[in-house]
Parts: sequence; structure tokens; C-alpha cells
Amino acid sequence: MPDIPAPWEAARDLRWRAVRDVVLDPIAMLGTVVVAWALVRSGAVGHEAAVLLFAAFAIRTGDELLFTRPDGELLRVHPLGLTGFLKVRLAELGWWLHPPRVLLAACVGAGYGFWFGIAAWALGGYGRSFGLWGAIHTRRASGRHGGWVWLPGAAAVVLQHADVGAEAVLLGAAGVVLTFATIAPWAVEGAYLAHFDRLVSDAATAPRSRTRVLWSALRGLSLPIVDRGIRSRLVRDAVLTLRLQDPQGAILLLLAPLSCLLLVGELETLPTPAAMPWRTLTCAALGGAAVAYGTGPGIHRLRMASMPWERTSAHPGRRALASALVWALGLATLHGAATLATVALTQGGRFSGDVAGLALPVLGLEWAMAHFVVVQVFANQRGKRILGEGTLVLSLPVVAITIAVAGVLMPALIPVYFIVTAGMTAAAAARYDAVEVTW
Amino acid sequence: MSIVVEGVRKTYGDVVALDSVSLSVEAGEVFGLLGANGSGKTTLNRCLAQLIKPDAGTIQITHHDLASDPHGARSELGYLAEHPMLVPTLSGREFLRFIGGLRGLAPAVIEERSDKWLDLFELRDAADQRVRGYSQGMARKIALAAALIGEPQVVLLDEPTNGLDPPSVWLFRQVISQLQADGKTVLLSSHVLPVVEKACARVGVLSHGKLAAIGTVEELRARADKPGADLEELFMHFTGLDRAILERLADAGLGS
Repeated sequence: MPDIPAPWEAARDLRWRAVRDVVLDPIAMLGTVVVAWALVRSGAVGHEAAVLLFAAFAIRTGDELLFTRPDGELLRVHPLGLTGFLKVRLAELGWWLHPPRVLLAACVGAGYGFWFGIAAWALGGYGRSFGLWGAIHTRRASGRHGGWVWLPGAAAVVLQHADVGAEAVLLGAAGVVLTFATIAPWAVEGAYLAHFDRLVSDAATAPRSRTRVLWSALRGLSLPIVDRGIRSRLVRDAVLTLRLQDPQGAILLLLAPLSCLLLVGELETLPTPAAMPWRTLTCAALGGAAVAYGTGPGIHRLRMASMPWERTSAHPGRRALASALVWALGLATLHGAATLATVALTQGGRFSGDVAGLALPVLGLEWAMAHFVVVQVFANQRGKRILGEGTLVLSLPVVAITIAVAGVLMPALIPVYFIVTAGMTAAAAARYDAVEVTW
Repeated sequence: MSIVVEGVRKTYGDVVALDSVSLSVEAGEVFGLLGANGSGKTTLNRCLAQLIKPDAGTIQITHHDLASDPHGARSELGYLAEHPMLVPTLSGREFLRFIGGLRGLAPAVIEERSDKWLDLFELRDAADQRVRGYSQGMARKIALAAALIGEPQVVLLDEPTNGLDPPSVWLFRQVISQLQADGKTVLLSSHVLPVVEKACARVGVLSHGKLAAIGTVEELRARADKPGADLEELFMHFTGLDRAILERLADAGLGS
């Protein structure tokens, strides 16, 4: 008779099916490598700050897994054993920590003290126990989800660049984290058995004020858009993104600004001043790709879930496409502006005189990439699926390279892209109108 | 006794969801829990399912005290939540396999029981479709199948007939009858009074977190001094909602 897996192992296997789709996603893996490269090149996040940020990520993710994920209730009503639920979440947090572990290694990497490197490596290994242990004690201490755990890491990033002689403080803070990380594997089970039932019950019955604040803040935004249909769709997209309903898209949007850090490093190692526009456009393209993908397929699938509602409006395709483009182009504009600001401010404003000439190439590149992804997604939707999503990864670089070359050689040619693709844009809106809602 | 609830109190901030609720349900009994929206039915179910902890009081499921033996109690319990807890990315059959795994069942047993419930609920053709695409009724049926696949001794059904068509409601009632015949204990929470009246021997009426009345329908009629009253009249009487609604109608100029 074959061995019957323990109930918690069945739960763990199911969670792996869900997590692997995100962690092993080629785009996510590529994004992680790019960010790691950016961190190594720029040195933007020092080793103490990296430790504190890694710890904060582990605790926040641990809190989400233990206390707020909807599938937690499904698992907890079944007899997984006294610590079965903890075992499932330990395994899952270990998987979620793989990408940050790569980033931690990139920040702590070569050039730092041997013992600190060893300790940080241990934190990477013990991170899952530390995350859950920290989540339990953060809830105990504050009674809430503990979003404040990000503050020490953020403060460390600022302090390391502020040159205020805070090395001892940073080292002490990182040392405290690393000490607790080595204790956590032995302490997490006791903390779970002693406190989890009460804490998860309190979490389940706590008022969800954060959501109400979020909604009212978004409603209060006086967006300079007259069309209410488009405005309401933009608020919906913002809510979906802020609630991480499209985790891959949200992560890409969070990672996009790191291209500016990469640009700082690139501008410091220019072989010749003539290479500056190319380096700038390369970094803009990397971040722009993250923005374009983050505002493309994932959130479109979420929008499709509310499509029956959208289709009751007049001209649903035109409005849906217009709002999707405003959402994507708006974020692309923000990223483009951040890229130009980086050029203007880096090295004491050495390149500030070049910003005016770079504005059209950078913004044109960002807009074209975002536009291309959105239009392709709309044009290739079939029911709730998007056909040829993988080919976007191949075709987007072609668009980016073409626009970048035009941007350097003859910026006036950039608007031609939007004229050439006008027919494609109209067809995308028509495609949306033609989709039959069968779900 | 299969379910023993003694002095259970639960508050959400200033709101008292359950106020010293005590009741017991015998093995093999189908007990109906009635109450308007917000009366505390779901809170009591969630306490029984150990999703939340009461602020005070004790609960036993088949003699397992939830405070001292939570794992033992979970082994005896099947729970159909008001909003079915499903995994949308799995097919119906995969979901039942998954829940069977969580109950520690052997694969052959899971397959056999899955087939039984899929056939009974006419879900065989949709068994390989993702649960995400299920209608409300199909989702509720697959969730009930999941609650029963471990053949638990105690079954909590929170608003099981929401979104079901009349034949499915009838089928649900037959399933409940069969559970009772098999000696299982069922706590049926609902505000669909005809279903409760037909399925349950005893009922409890929750009102503003308090157990306003408990007993057989005959006992409730005698207590209310309303011979011949149906469960709806008794429910309105014990919750005081009949007087409150009549006053509101009068205030609105719609009542005599």
C-alpha cells in the first residue's frame, strides 16, 4: 500500500503549485537578475540596509501567510496536526524568499567582511523561520500587521548615503536582526503554539480600516480627467495594483524605479560622454519594460473578471482601451520623468544640460513600450485568455530598440510610431467589443 | 452530546456578536440555528470551526474541548462556510482530492468518495473544469462535497442553500436526512425558514447575539402561546422583529 502523505504535506504541495507559477516565472526571474545586477552596479543598498530590508520582507510576507491570506482559513479547519499549518507556511515562505535571497547576496556580495557575509548567508537560510517568528511577535507587540518593520531598512538606506557617521548604529541594527535570525528556527514553533490561535482570531475579527482609507483616498483624488468612466476605471486599476491582486505586475512596477539606480552607476562609468544617451535609453528601456509589462497582461486579466460590468457602458472597447492606455502611459511618464531627473541630478548636475535633448527620446521610448503592450494585449484577447503573451517578450525589445535608435539619431521620427500603429489601436478596441462574455 | 457550547461570548470592538450563548446538540441530531443577518450565526459557526476564538466560554465537539484538544475536534468536523472556501485554480475533482489529502485519506478512498459526491450533485461533467468557472450553485455543491468527503461526525452548514435552485435545495435536504440516518450531527444555520422547519427537529433562535429561544417547533409554539404558528411567525415573535417592522411600517405610513 502506498504511503499516504501527511495532511500538511498535501497542503504544502498545493501551495507549491501556486507559488511556483510566480517564483519560477521567466519574467520574474529575469527581473530578479536585472535588479540584482542594478544593485551590484550602483551599490545603492549597503549590506546593513540589505539585511534590514530582507528581514522586513520576511516578516511582512510571514504575516501575510500566517494571518491574512484567504486560503489560511481553508487549511485551518482541517486536521493538519498541531504544527501542520506552521510547516506549510514555513515551506511557502522559504519559496517566496528565493528572489530576495538573490538580492541580499547581490548587496552583501564580495568586498564586505567575511563574518558579516557568513551571518547574512545564515539569515538567507533561516529567513523563513525568522519571518514567521517575527510576524508572530510583531503582531503580539503591536496588535496590527506591522507595516512599520520596513522603516529601519528604509532609514538605513538613507543613513548610509547621508554620511553622518551612523555605521555603528547600522551595524548594531543588522547585528540584532542576524542574532534573532539564528535563534528563530528553535523559537518559532514555541511562539506559534503559544500565541498563534489568539492572534489569528484577532486578525480575522479586526476591522479592515486600511481598505477604507485606501478607497477614500483614491476617491478623493481630483484626477484631471473629465470622463467619469475612465476615471472610475483608473481608480479600479489603482486599487487592484495596491492590493497586489496582480502580484507579478505590482512587483514589476515596484522594481521599475531600480533602473534609475542602475543609471546612476552607468553614468559614473561612462567610457565617453557620447555614450550617455545610449546608457540612459538602455536604463529607461529596462525600467520601461517593467512598467509596460506591469500595466499589461496581468491587470488586463483582472479587468476581464469585471468585464460584464464594463460592457454595460457605451463604447466599452474604446473606453476600456483609453483607460488602460491612460493607466499605462501615466506610469510610463512617471518612470520617464524619474529617469530624466536622475540624469539631471547625478554627479552634481554634470549632465543637466542634456536633459532637454533627452526628454523626447526617453518619454517617447517609455510611451511606445507601454502603448505596444497594452494594444497587443487588447488585440489578442480571446475570452479570458491572451493569445501569444510569450511573444510579447520577444517583440517588445524590437520596438524598444527601434524607438531608441530613432530617439538618438532623429527624435522627430518617434511620433511616427503612434501614426503607424493607429490602425492596430483601433482594431484592439474593436476586438474588445467583439469578445463574448461566456463566463 | 456532539456539540456543547457553554457561555460563549464574542465581541468585535464595541459590537457584541455572541452574548453568553449556551446550547447543546445530541449525536445524530439535526439542529437548526435561526437568526436575521448579523444575529451571530456565522460568528458561532466560525467559533465552532476554530477560525476565531471566543472571548469567554467553552466549546466541545464530540467531547474534544477546543481549548485543550483543537486537533481532535478538527478531525471530527466538516464545515461548509457561508462563502464557500475553494481553490479557484483547481478543478472540482482536484479540489476534492486536495481536501481528501488534508483529511489524510488514502487515494483510493478519495477517488471513490469523489465519484459518489460528483455523481450525486451532477457535477461529473464539470469535474475537470476549474472551480473558478463554477456557478454559485455548483460552487456550493462542491464545497459541501468537500465538507463531507472526510465523513466527519459533526457537520456545520452555514447558509447551505444560498444560490441554489429548488431541486438542489430539495437534494440538500435529502443529504441532510441521510447524514442524520448515518448518525451524524448537523448544525444547520439559515434564514431560509422552510428549509430549517423541514430538516430540523430542534431549533435555536439567535437575536442580537443572544439565544432568544431553543426547542422543538411544538415547544416554541407553546412558549409563544401561538398554537398552529409556523416557524416564520415564531421566528418573528422571538426576535421581536414583527413588532419592530410593524412600527417602522406605521412610521412610514404604510401600516395600519
